Amino acid sequence: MIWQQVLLQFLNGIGVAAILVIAAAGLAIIFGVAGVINMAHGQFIMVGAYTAALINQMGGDLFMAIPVAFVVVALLGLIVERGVVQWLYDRPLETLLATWGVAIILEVAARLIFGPLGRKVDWPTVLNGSVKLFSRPPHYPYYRLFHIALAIIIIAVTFYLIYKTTFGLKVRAVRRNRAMSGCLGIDTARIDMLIFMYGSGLAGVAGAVIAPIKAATFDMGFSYAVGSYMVIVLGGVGNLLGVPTGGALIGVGETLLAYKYNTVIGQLLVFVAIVLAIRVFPRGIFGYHERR
Amino acid sequence: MAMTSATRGRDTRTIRRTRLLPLWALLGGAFLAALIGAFPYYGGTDSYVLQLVGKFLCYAIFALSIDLIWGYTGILSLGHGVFFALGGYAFGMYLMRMIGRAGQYQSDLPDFMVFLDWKSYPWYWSFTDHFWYSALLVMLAPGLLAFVFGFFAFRSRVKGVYFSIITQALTFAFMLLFFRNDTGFGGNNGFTDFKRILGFRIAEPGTRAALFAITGLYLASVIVLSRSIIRSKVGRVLTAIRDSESRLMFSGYNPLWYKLSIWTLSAVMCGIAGALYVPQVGIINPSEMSPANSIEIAIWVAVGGRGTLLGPVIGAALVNGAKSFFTQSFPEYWLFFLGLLFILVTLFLPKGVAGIIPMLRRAARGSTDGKQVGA
Repeated sequence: MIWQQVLLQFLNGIGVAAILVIAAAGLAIIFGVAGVINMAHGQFIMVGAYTAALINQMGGDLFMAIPVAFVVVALLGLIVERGVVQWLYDRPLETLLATWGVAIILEVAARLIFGPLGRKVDWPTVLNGSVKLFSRPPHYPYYRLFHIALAIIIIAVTFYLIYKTTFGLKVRAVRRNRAMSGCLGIDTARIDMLIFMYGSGLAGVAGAVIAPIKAATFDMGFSYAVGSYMVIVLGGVGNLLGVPTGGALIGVGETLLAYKYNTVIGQLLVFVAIVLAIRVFPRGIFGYHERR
Repeated sequence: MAMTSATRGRDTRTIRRTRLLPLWALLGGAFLAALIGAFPYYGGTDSYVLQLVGKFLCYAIFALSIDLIWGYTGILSLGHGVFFALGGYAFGMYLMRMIGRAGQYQSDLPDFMVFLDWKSYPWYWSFTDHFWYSALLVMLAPGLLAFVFGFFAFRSRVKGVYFSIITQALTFAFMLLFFRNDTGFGGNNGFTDFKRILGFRIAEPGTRAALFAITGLYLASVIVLSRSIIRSKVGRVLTAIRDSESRLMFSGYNPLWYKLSIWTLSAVMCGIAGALYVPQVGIINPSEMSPANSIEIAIWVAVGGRGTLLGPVIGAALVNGAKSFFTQSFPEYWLFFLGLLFILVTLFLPKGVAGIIPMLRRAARGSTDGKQVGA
């Protein structure tokens, strides 16, 4: 039945969207607050994936790897922020170049340490199996549900952090008016640093849950980074709904188009659609106008 | 703005003359390169060097085209490789047709089409066997893409990092497209194994020397053109866009057409460089469109000094020199070095190598008035 296929592709698209949301959330929050794009975001995801691979090798499962990857990559983010990014907040274009340098170094280091071949990561046994939507395969695998749940959790936690805590209040203040927040005694540099760490940590989580689908490889990062950029460009970083909206549109759009034509045509058409969408939503669907 | 305050109170004519010096030096250099290239003697004995330097010259033009939009207009493109490669592919189509039946399968079609079992050329290959049409396509393909893309982006006032990451996605999307076999551009392998250009054998030292000379002349003319643009009123508006776009808009200018023109011009410039690159290097494949490639050229510009005309050329020479050195002596550390270069140059040398000389001069003069000038 054709509609069953389409429905399944749609659900797969939601799963892909969940991955995009997990990957883009960290990038979006850093861009939204600090106004810089971390070009090493994809490589941070890669580091998260290798962390999961190491945990897996030592006998831990994915549920253990997720928090570890968060901490490891958040610390990496701390180093990069203190060492490089903090000097460049007023030169955002140059942040792109400097963090790309970080990206290159991380990638080469990963290849030197772990070799050119991928490292496999196993799913926890709980997630092996699938929902039998229809009598015949293909079925809908559990891990997709897990990705969707995790994406929702990440957005919810971030929402809580930004809108319900004192820290979040300060973050929103810095974002609205940096100079005034500074005058009122908020340590804006510290807020930037913490947000950078949090966003990087989310990249680590993304890596950990992406690793079991495709294995951790040294060059896995870039395509996820590009996906994340597109999510941000389409969804906007005006509020937290931007990432899930952008992610859902891109994920479902690409999957359905890939089913109809092929993967590359799907990606290309989605890209064209995004460029066209810029005319209507210059700062993304949930963009906001900065006042600087 | 900075320039006027620096020149105020001095004799502008002497300044203009001293400013001209590096330009004439460079022009002279380019002509010299062209002359050297024109000696088939060199092509015969040392065609490797000729090819290498020719490649560098193309890359220098690539860097200049990025400098024009980044250094002067403040728009950082991380996807200029797509224009370079489109120019290269457009000319590559002509070169492929010129192989004729000399390919492995002795067919009228290029080998990769025979391999795909195609019976005739796809529509977009039509007329590419005419040199002039291909030459036109070299300018049209990157120009049109840049115009359409730029129109959408600039009209919506997309700028800064937002614009940069979209350009990166642009070149990434094109790379994926060109990697596919059924796109009709040779997939992974791209175009290679060229035989003839305008009836001359490509491997002939004379042809190589001529190509090299043309590239040298093209570089020189690109520099002259860029210089005249930057010195013109339009150039003033462009630097104003870089320094304060909103103030410019309040003054009654619409930045759209300025940005769009320089963006498209830069893309065309880059496309022609790509077209000159292909016959000299002998291959074009989708890896030219890889985002890493484009961003690496942005760092050449940063190393040399953006916002100067000499900077990109110096940067291209320096980084490529370092690359040759590393890949011969310590191949495994080249990328480490490149990564560090990205970080260190942006942190400690924001004006690049070209910025060192004024910095030293200011220090030597021991005056403080220079501090206000450096923004």
